[in-house]
Amino acid sequence: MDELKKYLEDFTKEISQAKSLDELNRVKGKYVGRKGLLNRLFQQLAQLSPEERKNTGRKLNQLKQTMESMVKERMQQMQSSRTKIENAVDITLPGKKQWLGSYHPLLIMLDQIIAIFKSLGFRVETGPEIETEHYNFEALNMPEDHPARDEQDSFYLDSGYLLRTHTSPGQIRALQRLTPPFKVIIPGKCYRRDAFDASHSPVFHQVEGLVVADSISMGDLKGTIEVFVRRLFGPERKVRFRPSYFPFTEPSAEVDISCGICGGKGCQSCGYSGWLEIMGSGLVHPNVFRNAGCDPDKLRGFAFGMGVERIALLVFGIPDIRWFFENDIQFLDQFRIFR
Amino acid sequence: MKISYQILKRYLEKLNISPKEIEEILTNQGLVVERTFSGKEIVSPTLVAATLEEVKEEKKQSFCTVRVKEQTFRLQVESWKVPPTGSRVIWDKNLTSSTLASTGPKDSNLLITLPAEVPEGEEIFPLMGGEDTVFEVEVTANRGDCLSVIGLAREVGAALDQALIFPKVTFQEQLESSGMVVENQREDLCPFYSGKYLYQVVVKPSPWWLVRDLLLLGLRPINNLVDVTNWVMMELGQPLHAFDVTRLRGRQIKVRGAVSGEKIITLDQEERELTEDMLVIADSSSPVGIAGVMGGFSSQVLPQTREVFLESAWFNPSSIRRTSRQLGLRTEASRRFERGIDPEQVVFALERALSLMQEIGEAKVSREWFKLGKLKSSPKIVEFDPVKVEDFLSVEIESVKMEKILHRLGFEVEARENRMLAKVPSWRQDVDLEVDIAEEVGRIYGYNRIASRLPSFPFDPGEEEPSSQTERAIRAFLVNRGLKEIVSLPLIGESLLQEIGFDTDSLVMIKNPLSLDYAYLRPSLVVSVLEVLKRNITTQKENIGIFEIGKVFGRANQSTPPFREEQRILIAIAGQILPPLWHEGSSVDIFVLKGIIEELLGIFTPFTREVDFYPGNDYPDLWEPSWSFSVRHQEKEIAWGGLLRKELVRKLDFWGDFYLCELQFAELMSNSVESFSLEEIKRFPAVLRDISLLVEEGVSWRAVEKMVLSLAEAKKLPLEQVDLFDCFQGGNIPLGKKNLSFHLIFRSTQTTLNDQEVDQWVEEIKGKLRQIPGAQLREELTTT
Repeated sequence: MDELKKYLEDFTKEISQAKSLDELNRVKGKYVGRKGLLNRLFQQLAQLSPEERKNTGRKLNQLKQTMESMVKERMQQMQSSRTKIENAVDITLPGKKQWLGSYHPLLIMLDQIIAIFKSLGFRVETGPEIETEHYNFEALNMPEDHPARDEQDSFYLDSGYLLRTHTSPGQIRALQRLTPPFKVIIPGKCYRRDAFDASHSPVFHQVEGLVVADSISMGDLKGTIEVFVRRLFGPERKVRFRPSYFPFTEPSAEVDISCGICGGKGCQSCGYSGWLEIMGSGLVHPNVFRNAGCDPDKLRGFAFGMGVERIALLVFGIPDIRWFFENDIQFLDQFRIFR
Repeated sequence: MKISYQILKRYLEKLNISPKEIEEILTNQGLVVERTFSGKEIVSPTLVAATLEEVKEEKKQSFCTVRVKEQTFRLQVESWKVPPTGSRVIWDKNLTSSTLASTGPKDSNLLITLPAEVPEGEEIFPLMGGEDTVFEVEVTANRGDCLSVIGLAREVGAALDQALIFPKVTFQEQLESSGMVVENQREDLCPFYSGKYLYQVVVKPSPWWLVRDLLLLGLRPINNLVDVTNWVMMELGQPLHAFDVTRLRGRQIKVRGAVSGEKIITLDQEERELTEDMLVIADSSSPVGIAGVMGGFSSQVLPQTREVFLESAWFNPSSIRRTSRQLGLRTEASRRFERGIDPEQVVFALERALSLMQEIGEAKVSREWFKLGKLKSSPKIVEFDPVKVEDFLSVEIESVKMEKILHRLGFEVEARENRMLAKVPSWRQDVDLEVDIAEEVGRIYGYNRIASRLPSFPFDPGEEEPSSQTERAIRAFLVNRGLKEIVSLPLIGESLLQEIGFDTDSLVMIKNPLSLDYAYLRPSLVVSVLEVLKRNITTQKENIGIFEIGKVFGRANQSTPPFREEQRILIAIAGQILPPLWHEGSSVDIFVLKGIIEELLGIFTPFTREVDFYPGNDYPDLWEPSWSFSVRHQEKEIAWGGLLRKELVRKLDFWGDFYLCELQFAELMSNSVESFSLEEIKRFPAVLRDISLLVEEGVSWRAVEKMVLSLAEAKKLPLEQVDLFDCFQGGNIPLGKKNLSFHLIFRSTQTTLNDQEVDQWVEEIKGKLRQIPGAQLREELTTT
């Protein structure tokens, strides 16, 4: 095998000394050609035992390829040296790039929210966007003429169907489908009859959460939401629970986080209150259990719902909700750094 | 609902905390203070007293003249809002005739009636009696009781453990009879109706304190009678209404249903058409008010009014809500009635108004009482277990403390063994259950005292839904492939759909759209992406590579629900293949799009070899003729697309070549990777042969490729790849023919192939290709 090593060394020396393409071809013929040593060695393979033949054969093949690629390289070198001067590359020329893809900021936010709840052991479910009044309102303890329906002006289709105004119908569907105890989130698109402005869109996204077991209390809700907020917004943000009203929870709580811009001192973006409203929550109302066919004396639960747009506006500092749906390439391109 | 610090103090004698603390108390109890105002922000220091000299009608418009000392101003006004001529009114001393002409009066407090004693030119703000803070409180739908000063004062009192001072009532009654007939035909919609007759009434401006209070609470002072009814509504939450009796035909009040098509001109001088399910207050011939919503113009109290019928009633909340929504007329009264007012305060509020009327003005009250119908008076008792309340809330709280909180909120609490009974106050219709009691206790005790913990129970969240996994894989692939994810609106305009040629009858229509631009649910993602393409192109963002995964909607008449929602994937590209740089670029074409589709389908292994692209698809209006395609897998259409029809792009006012493809998500899902078989690593050298074939231009590459592949399969040839590297027409290629050049790559997993056997296979393949009619093998190029 030393023979081969020597052979390669000589070859290397000779091709580097070759001054013209003709010379190079001569060297190539001498070493890799029909009458070269390499070919002789190939012919001798037949005399070896099958095991040796395989081994030596592979080595010879590798050598042949190495030599051939060296010839090619040298050839290119010779050709390019005619036009280019060595070390003259202008490295300040721009690199050759590809288009980069990006995820939509709303879905980046949604994915992050989902990931946090998954890490807390939540299951992810989905539901239809076309709903019945029963699932969207009545089962959620909002009978016809309930004043709370005013805040959720709906788009109606025919046959008594509507576009869901929130992801809360998912609570009823989850209660009907899953066996307690369980933890579930239901993300999705929602629709309300709100005209477009900087903070309203007739189409938006929500994430609904529902935890059902026999011993759930407000403390479980508060603890869960606190963990969520700290993970999403950072440990320095404060969380405030404040009583509120939703027909499908009792007691109900609105969740505020301290304003990230002024740190809670009060500024224009938090309406000088120091707090930003991010979600509604509470213990599942006994009527909701009943309407879903469950026994409210045996089960307890907490539920929450948050608007993804609102959170994304806060996190990315986007001034206008309409930007999400315009899908301007320049806007979208800025989010390529988020995975 | 607005309330001021000074007003609050009248009902909570011992109030000694700052306005800031009140704001915190209310917010933390679920009554969010949305804004606070200083007195100056409501009653600007530039406001002065002026005299309204004249009101004139000209060409159906009203103009008035205002005098402050020597200066006079003329301005256009809404006639129904203007006080009588000669009134002392509020004016802004900074206003000049030229600002009035250009911008008109801005301050809504202008031209408000002041007591005649205020001298002309006097500044208003100093009369306010010092600074005040006004809180604007957001009242949730369940807390109608807090749409009143008393309700909010009670809340603050509960937090501070202070008793509420209730307003007192004293008034004189006379023997005089009204001669009125009052009748209630609809006890279903108006379970209780009461009223009192007032006479020898003197209508004049209210005293300053009342004007001030109403201004602070955001109401417009008019005259003493109207102002008293408005004030009592603010104070107690009971809307009242005053009718001029002489203008009630037949001196009659009839609570009845409206007759369909019946019309009424309301106080705001709008004519409104009524429907049968609306409740009205009528005289002997026509409606004089829409019950609980707004009074009629014809029977309103005017300066010359001497006889008044004062109404206080309890209307059915749903009925009021429906009526006010139907008419698009939301008033302070309807807001309160639709949330349910305190049934036990209906008569008291009337008495309170009478008492104030006699206190601030001149009015005689007949001892005659009109009371029709009855309100159920059995109080609700809610039984609760204090231990359970603690448990619901995750707090430790003594039952004595609980009792105290509930007591301050108006509940009467009684212990019975281990449980407690709470008698719910009449104004809290929203409290029914043990959990409601828990919320009441929690609200006042403080949600900040809830001890945080995490739910712990055994639950296996199970596997992710397969569709989510697939969706994530597709999104990741497309993003890595350089495309940008978009979220477009599923709501589509009618005109756009017609431009594209969709039959709107087959689409899902919204019955009450925001506008015709958002009247349908998209039948295809292509439709909603057009807007996105246009927006980018018209702002010179011409290199586009986008995708969306979203739902499309259709009708499904035979099923329940009669609608279909289906997930689709859309890919759209336009512009340059690579970012423009210092090298020459080339534009995307249909094969760039096809490449993306093929690679995407490649994620789903069963597709790689069984998918075929066919020319044409079901939406000919969308695409350039002969530049559209459909993708099928085992005869099932899984995707379609093409080059967007240029005429359509032009019609929509933008420009460019756009290559679009829409894929059915469910079809990909049902074919996602189930089994995985590992391919052996190839360790032997590959042998390359090239073939150059001249064929009729109608022969597809796919047909040639299939022919080669099937022969290789039949003969078990170690053919690894067939790569087309050139497809050429023109030049020296005869007309009507095309040249296909492709590599054949052979490689065995077992052994090094020798040239002779490969040559033999290539000959076999060539033999097969010669069978293609009109085919001709061109000079063979061979390399090793």
